[in-house]
Amino acid sequence: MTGKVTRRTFVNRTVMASAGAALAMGAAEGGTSAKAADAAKAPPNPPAPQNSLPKGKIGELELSRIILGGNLLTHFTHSRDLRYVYNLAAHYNTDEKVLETLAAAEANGIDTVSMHNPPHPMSVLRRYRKERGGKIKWIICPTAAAEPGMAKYAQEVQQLIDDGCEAIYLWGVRADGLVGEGKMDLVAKAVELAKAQGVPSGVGCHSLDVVVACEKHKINADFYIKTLHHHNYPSAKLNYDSMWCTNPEETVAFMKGVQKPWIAFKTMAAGAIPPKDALEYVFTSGADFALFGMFDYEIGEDVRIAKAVLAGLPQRARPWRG
Amino acid sequence: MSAEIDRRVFVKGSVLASAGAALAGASGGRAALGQQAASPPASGNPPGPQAALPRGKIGKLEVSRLLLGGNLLTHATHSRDLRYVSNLAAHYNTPEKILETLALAEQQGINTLVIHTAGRIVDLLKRHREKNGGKIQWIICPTAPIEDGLAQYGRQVQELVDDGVDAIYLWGVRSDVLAGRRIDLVAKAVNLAKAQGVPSGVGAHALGVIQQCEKHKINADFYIKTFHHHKYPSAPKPGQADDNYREFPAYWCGKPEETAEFMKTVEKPWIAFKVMAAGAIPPQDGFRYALENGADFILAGMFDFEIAEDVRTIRQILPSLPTRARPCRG
Repeated sequence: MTGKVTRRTFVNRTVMASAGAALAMGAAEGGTSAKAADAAKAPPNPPAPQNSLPKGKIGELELSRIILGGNLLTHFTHSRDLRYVYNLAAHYNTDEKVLETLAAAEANGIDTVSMHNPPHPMSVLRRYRKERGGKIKWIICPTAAAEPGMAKYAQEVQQLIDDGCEAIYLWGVRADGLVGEGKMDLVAKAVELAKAQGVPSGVGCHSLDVVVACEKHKINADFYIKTLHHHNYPSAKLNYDSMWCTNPEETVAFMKGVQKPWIAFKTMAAGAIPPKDALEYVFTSGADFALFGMFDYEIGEDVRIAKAVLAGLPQRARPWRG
Repeated sequence: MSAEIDRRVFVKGSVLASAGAALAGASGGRAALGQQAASPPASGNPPGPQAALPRGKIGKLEVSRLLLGGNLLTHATHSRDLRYVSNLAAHYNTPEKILETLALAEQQGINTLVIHTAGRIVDLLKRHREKNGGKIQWIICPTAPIEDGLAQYGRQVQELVDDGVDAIYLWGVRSDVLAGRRIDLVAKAVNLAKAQGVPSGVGAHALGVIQQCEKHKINADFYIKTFHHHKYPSAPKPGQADDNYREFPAYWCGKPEETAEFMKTVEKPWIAFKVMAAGAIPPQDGFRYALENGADFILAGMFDFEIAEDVRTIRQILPSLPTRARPCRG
């Protein structure tokens, strides 16, 4: 079992990390990721703190390149026909364990979590800030329907803002549907609604059509959260809750022309692709950030892998955009 | 989260169970699947819980119709290409949680578990007995190789007997390979455990193992044979189940119809395992399919939070079974 992170060790580690970051601020740029950014003539990013995860930016918001995914915290494991895994995740990831996981993520340099907004998990996020002094940033998608008038959607956006959410995006499930129905006006309204609250506002999607349509219609999004994974895993052809990016090559090709930051999600195809393979694929293919679902005991190892991958990236086809 | 069972609750539950079973009394004759087993409790063991699960018999060993499977306790989850699930199971099923699971199984009327000799699991089982007063019976397969002379295998059998195992069987992974080539070694492995005075069985994924054992009149007391249908998304499509078992497409019983058909002719007790295809078939479906098609006992891997519901499920199924083509053999 992984060592538990108590509040004391969490605070100690956070303080030490801050001190390390302060020391590193004046140092020369380090890490291949920063060099790659230079080579691609992307907007300058602040150098990554020594010994911490490299970071990028969405607007003014600075984010670690690895973002803690929310599906394991909300127990949506997408475990194919193994329904018991949902229950097992729920019994393992109790509220207390989720709090420990958030602390472990921060202690390892992950400064952002992204998830949707079911009431109970949101209450745990709030508890983490209020009771544990947690600083992890939130990128959250409201799950309310984006309908004409946007009443319910606006309520959820307002609630998120009141809770201190740092960035908001349109849920991929909604965006896929809206774009499929040609309702780009509602996509635009959802984006503007969050933007009007002064936070970065993004669009999530599983379908590449969403990004294509948003670019075509010049939707004013600050970033995209788009699925990306290859198909080299056994259950890829199962056609049962096992594929979230149906056209990775087309996605990579199109995203080369997209100048907004791209957070890739479902990068491990919900657990079938090993972390190193997944991270190499998405960062080489152009993603600026990788959303990673992790249990507490996986975080340390995944961060070590991410640092190694980011430090050893070949020339990216797409410049860093965030 | 499931309510945690401390030792006090466990002991209290056991005492209540003992009283209930004493009231239940005993009657003669071979039990039908849905009936309580006939014989009085084995000497020295407290009887089963008040509302005990129906039981059957393997030799003189009285066994609940639902047995606790060992793969979730040893974290061999067989979770297709989702390797992380094994790790998650390991982080959930800590030694302490396994002890709770064993106690909970007993409380719910499950009186037997089946497991292989992985890691230090037998030490944990002993702890359950020696420190927690647990009574759950052990049916265990040694994992030592089966070679001429059976030296390693013999040592492991002896250790298990010394540790108090209640029945032993030949691991399916071994018998699948041996049955077609060295049936003499299968016979020796069976006789070796039998000579120790415990029921001795043969495990198998391949139907050919059972067929060879029957053909050669291997002196086994029971069979532990995989059994599940192929109606789940990760199952093999027609023509794909060309091996004994595989992780993807995921199956452990390649020929369910042939298995059901052949087992009709087999007069020894049959414990069906992998009845949920390692988690893809719901218990209601998997248990019913196995019992309707001839299995005498159901081996089911369960986390602590699943046991009560699975016990309710089998309690509902057993009295509602149609007349089986295969009579109850255990």
